Amino acid sequence: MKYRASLCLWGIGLALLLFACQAHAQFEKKAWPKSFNAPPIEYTDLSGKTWNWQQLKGKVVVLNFWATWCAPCLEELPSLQTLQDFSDNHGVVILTINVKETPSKIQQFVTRNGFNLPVIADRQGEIAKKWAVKVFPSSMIVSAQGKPIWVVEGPVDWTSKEASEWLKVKFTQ
Amino acid sequence: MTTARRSLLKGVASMGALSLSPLAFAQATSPATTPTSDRVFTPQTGKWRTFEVTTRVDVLKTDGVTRVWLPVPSVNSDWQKSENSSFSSNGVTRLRTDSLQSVQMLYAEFPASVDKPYVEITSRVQTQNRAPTANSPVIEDAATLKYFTRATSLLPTDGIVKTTATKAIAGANTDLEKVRAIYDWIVANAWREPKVRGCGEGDIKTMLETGNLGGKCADINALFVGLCRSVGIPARDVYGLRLVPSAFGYKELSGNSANLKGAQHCRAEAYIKGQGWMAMDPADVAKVMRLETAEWIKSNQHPVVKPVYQALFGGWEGNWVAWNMAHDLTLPQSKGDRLGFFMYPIGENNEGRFDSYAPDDFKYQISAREI
Repeated sequence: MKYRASLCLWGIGLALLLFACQAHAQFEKKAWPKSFNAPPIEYTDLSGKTWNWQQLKGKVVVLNFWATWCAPCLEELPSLQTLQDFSDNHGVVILTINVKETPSKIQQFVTRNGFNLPVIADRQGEIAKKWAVKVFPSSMIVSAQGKPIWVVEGPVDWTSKEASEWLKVKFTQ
Repeated sequence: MTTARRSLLKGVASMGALSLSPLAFAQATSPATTPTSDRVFTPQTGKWRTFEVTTRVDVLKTDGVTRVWLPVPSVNSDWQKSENSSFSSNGVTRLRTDSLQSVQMLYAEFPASVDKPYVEITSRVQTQNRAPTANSPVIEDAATLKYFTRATSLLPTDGIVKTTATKAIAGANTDLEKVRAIYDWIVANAWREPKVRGCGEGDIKTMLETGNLGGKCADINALFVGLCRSVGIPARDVYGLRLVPSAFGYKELSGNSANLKGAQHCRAEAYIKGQGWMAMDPADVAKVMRLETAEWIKSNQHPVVKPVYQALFGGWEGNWVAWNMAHDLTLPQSKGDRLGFFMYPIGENNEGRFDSYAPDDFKYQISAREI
């Protein structure tokens, strides 16, 4: 009986794991369109810190567009937080851009969930528009030379081996 | 009154001249329960339907003065009669008109002291189907036609837009052939992208530059309009709302009248000399291709798609109300930017503009009933 229960628990665990993997697997990765000029990064986050190309030179940047109404975004954010927590020495900078929500709502969400990722409030959606964002979440991977390389639409497990390969653009582009 | 506004109103005069076909009525009012191979989509003119459309906004979170703008049916033509509106609110309300673009809206303002702002409007409207056989086309003056070839912030008419349109119409001689070529180009190259929020942004230059032509009606039909305008053919987006199910059984071309919160839909028109404003909706062709069946249909000759592909060049179903045709609209009293288009309820407070697609803080309900 005990054996059966244990087997059942393992089964449920495996199913949950598969579900989680599947949920994260629903993304589409495309090359940044060559004919589309990337806008300059010149942003101020909610803490008042400014971000620009000069500071970010030599680092791979992940720009992640999200909102609190977007369930897949909320699913993805913890893995971005983990990526940041473990990538300090690997030259990856994550900038999250909340689209069209109020600073108070964003702050409340970030505090409640214990995130310390830089958050830029794109109050009118202008930054998203300049980066041609149509789908949430969307992430842009920008090489250490400041050139956007990949566009990823949909939630990603940023701690996965696959995602870590994408971030190697620093050395190859 | 501008010539553009006059052109919208003039259409009313030609209503009586439309042909009436009993067979067409039967086709238009019998819901299709047919299998894939027998799908029919043949909207015909002649039968007017009357609807009351009600929008109610409740602002759940206040911060200073709250302002709300609601679209009101503003189009009068040979396919729509916009009638009276009544409204109630615990704020100060005014019916406002943007005279340049003939846009009516209900503006409501709530002082900070109002704890739970709300505003509700009910508008009555008559609609009918459109078909390419209307025998009394509206004749527009040169100024109006020029107005509907202008560039807007989201519809540039030069650069990649013009280049794309020029390629699309290669070999076409008449305006009708050119419009047909652009319609076909859109159906062949753009696609319905369900993951796009709302009806899309309609930023056609970015769509073409990125090569990502996936979107919804405000993207796809804006692309159609922009391409037409860039080669000198007057065209316009018509922003509105689906009200009731399609009489032809197309679920993706239907509205659930009890809950129309996500039923906003924009269509398009192109002006052809001798035929007047022709109804166009390549976005709905793309929607049927992508979503009407479990399979993403890639051919416009598929039996589910073909009737819609054929009919939406020159026709559309009157289960939809048009709000307006405005672009780059400045809202009165607004502290926010101009709107690319005005199809959704809009609200603002001290923290800026609400996200019209996120109903948590800016809750709205839209419903309709046929009278």
